Amino acid sequence: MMNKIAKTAIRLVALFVLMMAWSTLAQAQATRTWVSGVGDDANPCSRTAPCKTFAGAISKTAPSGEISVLDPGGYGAVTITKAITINGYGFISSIVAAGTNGIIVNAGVNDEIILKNISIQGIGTGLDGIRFLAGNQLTVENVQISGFAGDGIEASLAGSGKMYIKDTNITNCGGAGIKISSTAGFPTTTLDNVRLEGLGNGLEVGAGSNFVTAQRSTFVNSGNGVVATGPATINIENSTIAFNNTGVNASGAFSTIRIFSNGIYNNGTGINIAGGATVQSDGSNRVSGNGSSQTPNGTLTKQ
Amino acid sequence: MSRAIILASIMAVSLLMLACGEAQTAPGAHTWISANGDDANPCSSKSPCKTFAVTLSKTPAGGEISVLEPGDFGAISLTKPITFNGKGTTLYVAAGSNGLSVNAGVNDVVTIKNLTLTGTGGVNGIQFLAGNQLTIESVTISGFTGNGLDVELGKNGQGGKLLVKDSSVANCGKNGFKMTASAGFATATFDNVKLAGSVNGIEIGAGNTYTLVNRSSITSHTGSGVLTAAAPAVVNVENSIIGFNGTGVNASAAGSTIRLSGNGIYHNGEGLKLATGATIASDGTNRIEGNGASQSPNAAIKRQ
Repeated sequence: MMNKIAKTAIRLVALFVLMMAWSTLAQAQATRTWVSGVGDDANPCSRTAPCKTFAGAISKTAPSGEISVLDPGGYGAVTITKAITINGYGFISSIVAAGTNGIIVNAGVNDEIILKNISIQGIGTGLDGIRFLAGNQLTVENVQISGFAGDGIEASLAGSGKMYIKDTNITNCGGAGIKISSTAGFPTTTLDNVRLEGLGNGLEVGAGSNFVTAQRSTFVNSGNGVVATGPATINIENSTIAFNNTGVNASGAFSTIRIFSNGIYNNGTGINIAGGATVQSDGSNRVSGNGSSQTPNGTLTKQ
Repeated sequence: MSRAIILASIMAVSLLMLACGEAQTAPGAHTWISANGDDANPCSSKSPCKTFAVTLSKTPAGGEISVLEPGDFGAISLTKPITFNGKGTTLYVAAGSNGLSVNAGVNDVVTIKNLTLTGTGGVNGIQFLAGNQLTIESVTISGFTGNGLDVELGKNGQGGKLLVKDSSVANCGKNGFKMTASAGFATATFDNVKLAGSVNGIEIGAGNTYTLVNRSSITSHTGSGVLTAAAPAVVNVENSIIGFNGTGVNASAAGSTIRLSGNGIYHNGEGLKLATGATIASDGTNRIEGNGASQSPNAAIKRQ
């Protein structure tokens, strides 16, 4: 009797080991992985056996690979530590991140990360929508971010890095829509067709020598539309800056904001320039209906 | 004895699985609604609910209600901070009803996106009565007897903010967009919005109402494309097309202001129309051609 039980036990253990080996094989990293609202993180994240969360899929996705979304669903917060693309396709798949950060990007110096076609919702208690802490390049395309107590996107790099934000809407965050607080190197940020509305500040650039260009974007917020708090350089073209407490605020000494062809309407203060700061213009901005506004103190060279 | 242990183990595992199953289907911040749902469900993506009212009650403040499959979800009244994501579906709105109404708290932020609202006798497409902010993204509204977007703020002495982007409003019996504020400050921002075929495209009425329009088209309205109907309304329009309307830009009330920059104002019965005491300001960059008649702007927008 005892012998029989022992034999059964050994067989069971052998079977278990075999199953483990299989599952390890099945979980080899794939270039393209899939998540689904009805998936399971125990799956290999294949198209026919998708995973349930981005966090579950990322460990099964090869560097420079892509996590694709199969159907609508909530796929959870995720930390990214390698080159990867997360693509929600047309499903506007969402990350709900109450009390936490939506996506943390803390990758290698050469890693390129792409986030597209996703929505990131903080339910009012989320910290930041996207935190960019390290990596060569972060691309954010067609992403909707709202409901964070902190910032929609915060780049806080310790060295140079590039951020591209395009066709993206950020609203209803307590902090800034996009905050750049990188402390070293020469990080650059490019915004195109970005809506920053209903936020504490729209675009806030502080800390180190950060360089930002923005075009075709909208800034409507309770604090500042665009504010440079450190020795930053911000270039804003063909954008709309309205209904903010302050529209364009060069509040940091040594900060420079260049403005070209923007509509700056009905802000408490249209343009504010602190001592030592510069706002450069070529005379193409419409500045009207503001409670008050300072005159640009620098000329934008046109040749 | 050993049988008892095995039995107990099976029961324990079963209980654990049951518990996990419960945890997975418990209602979350993201709830789902479907024509094939059931209001007894937890409104998860696997087990969606059937009516909006019940789904809303099972969704925490700040959460999101997404449509899983199209249907008729009953009256849709957003009374707390919530996102309603139509996921591309169409709602047909019958006579006597509004499509969606937003009547939320003074600090509440409401988002409506990815939705088509078709009036089959319905009164207003989206009615915004109270709330801190209403964001409308990728929404198509047409065929209502009243206003496509009807904003009547001022409840509890509060104004509010409306943000509309990548949306279209067409063929409504009154206005594409109408805004009044009986108290507080009301602001509306339109970016990449198509307004067409209603009586007026934009009518801004009484109260401290400020509107900004950028990269939009306002065409084929029998009345006015842009109309200020009461003081001290302000409308700023940039980089947009205003064409084929009865009147393109109509500052019809003394003390109201319309600012224009970079617009094409073509083929309206009357391009610009100014009441006595009203202001149309321009920076000289608007293309005003092919209109039956047009008054000239009576103020300059300062350029810096």
